[in-house]
Amino acid sequence: MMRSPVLITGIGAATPLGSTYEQIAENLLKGTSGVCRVSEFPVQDHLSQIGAMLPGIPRPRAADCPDFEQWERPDRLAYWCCSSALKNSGLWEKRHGLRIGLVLGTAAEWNVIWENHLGQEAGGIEHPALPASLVHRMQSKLGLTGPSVSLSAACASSNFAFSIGRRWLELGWVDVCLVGGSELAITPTTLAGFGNLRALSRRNDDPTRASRPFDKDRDGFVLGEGGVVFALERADHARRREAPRYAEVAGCGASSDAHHMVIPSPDPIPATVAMRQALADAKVQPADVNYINAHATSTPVGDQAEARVLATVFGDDIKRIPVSSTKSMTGHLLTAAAAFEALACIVAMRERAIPPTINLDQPDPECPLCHVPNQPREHRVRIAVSNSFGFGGSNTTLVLKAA
Amino acid sequence: MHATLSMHESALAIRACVTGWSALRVPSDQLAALRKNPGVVPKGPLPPSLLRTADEQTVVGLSAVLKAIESLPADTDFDRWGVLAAPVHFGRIVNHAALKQFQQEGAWGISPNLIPQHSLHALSGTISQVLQARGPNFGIGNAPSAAEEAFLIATTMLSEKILPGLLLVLTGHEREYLPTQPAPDCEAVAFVFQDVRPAEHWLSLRLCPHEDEHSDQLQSLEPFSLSRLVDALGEPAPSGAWRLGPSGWLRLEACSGDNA
Repeated sequence: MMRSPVLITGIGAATPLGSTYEQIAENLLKGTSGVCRVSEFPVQDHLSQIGAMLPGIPRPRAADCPDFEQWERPDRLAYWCCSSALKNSGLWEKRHGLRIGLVLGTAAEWNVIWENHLGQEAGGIEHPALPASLVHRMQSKLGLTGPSVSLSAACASSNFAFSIGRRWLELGWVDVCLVGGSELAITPTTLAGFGNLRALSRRNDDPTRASRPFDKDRDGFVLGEGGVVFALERADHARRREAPRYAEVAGCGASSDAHHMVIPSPDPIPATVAMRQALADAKVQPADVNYINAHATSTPVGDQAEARVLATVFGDDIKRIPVSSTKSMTGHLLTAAAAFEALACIVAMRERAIPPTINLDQPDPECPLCHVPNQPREHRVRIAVSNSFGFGGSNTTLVLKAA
Repeated sequence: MHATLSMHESALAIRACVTGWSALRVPSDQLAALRKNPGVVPKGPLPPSLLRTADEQTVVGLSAVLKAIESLPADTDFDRWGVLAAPVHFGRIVNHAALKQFQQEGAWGISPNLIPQHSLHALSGTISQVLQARGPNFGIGNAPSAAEEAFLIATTMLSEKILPGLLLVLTGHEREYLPTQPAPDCEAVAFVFQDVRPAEHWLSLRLCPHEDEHSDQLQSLEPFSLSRLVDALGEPAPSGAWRLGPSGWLRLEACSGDNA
């Protein structure tokens, strides 16, 4: 089947590096770390006491949502991201006349609500009547009339959102689709759960240097929080209305390790299937790729496993294609990670510069890649690849082309 | 995909072919036995610890899938199959205990299994691992609307005609869990969607995600619930139609041979 191109025409974000494209691009290319000591709750008995926190969730125009401050935090974050993406694409005022879908990666929405409301009547885990899900609350608050779904493949979630949203556009089910991820998982029990799993960095005395993908001294990932949502449209629709064009969603690929719930497969083949599927979908040869935004979370096992996958897919070309992990700056946004990393690819395309992997002082010899350590690199990027792998054995790859 | 994506009745209606299915309703006192033996696993016994700390919706969901695939040929290779799982309030029971424990013990009271085994990805991830299914796997919804969202995503993926097979499992409880009341029964439905022309008995599943809200057809339908679907699938020739969300509908019909 011939695919009609699908373009990204709007971006909405609230991340540890900022809440506008300009802020995020500037911080990514300056190599700014968003990681700090967690101060929202006591962390003295947590193994990991650091995180890339949201500095705050920006408030949209009061006229659009006068009771915004009374909403739960997940609602405020998702609303900001979705409404900003629609405004950025020039569709906000027209949204009621369009069939707009929503596909959102999110996993911790109930955990956050249950934890915040423990012992309380309304919204608490002990209370039978729970509210509608986040996407349906967003659908109602934003006045969207297209289908809405939430999904989770843990850290790979938002790449699935791209794939589903693009397909809905191809099938004609929606005129516009909002896709992305929104996650606020830095809570006392989540920080404890990941910490007790020994997945998190314990570099508590040096937060900004804790997330160090591919570095020999990495000791785990850093939790992050935030959301990124994109407006997708078919190219003909976008061109007709002279919409902004950030990138084309050119290829999606997905596979599973079927190996372990947490540990990536030592066999690179399952993840290479996802990468090759995405490249074939985009009609791109490995040698054509100009930038790879790696999943690389800064865990000893995961970064090496991904390096083997990249070497298998790209062969000798991996020695010259720049690879970086922006999780070094943002921490791990979990279900929103893939969406943020798609945004990092767009920054690389538009700014003609690769965001660096910060804190990469001594590259792990088991990860022999064309790193971009600590400083951005000027580079023309037409085709970018972003990997996202998740608990449950999910492997996903997204290919973006300059539009 | 046989009989998939034939447009009819509405521009958005989709039809898919279900070659295997099962429905379970498991009282809480039977969960321990199911955890030890969820069913016949095609590629040998489960690792003994695989379900030890799994969520009860994972145990019942996996069991439903194993039962649904019993009707497939014994040599079915699931390697490129996809797995979709749509639980409702997954992990609620364990999270309740974990939150209480955190209040008493602090960070050390939280099990390292809490996130890997009781988050939305865990049900599909476990099934993928058990069946060695290496197509896409992910969780959907995690709210009362989960089934509606899952049917939408399943038909979206089937329309791509990439996967040789897709497993869809819906799980939940017959009523919401409340710590002050007896534990509710756990329910699961599993569907097998396959890219083959079924020889004998199969189910036709029709989904329309968006119909005129005021249409007589829509107004005459009962709202969808997992319990209603479990009951319908318990019949020798399952059939039924339900309203999905504000404006969609789902229809199931038993078929045999080519009587599409």
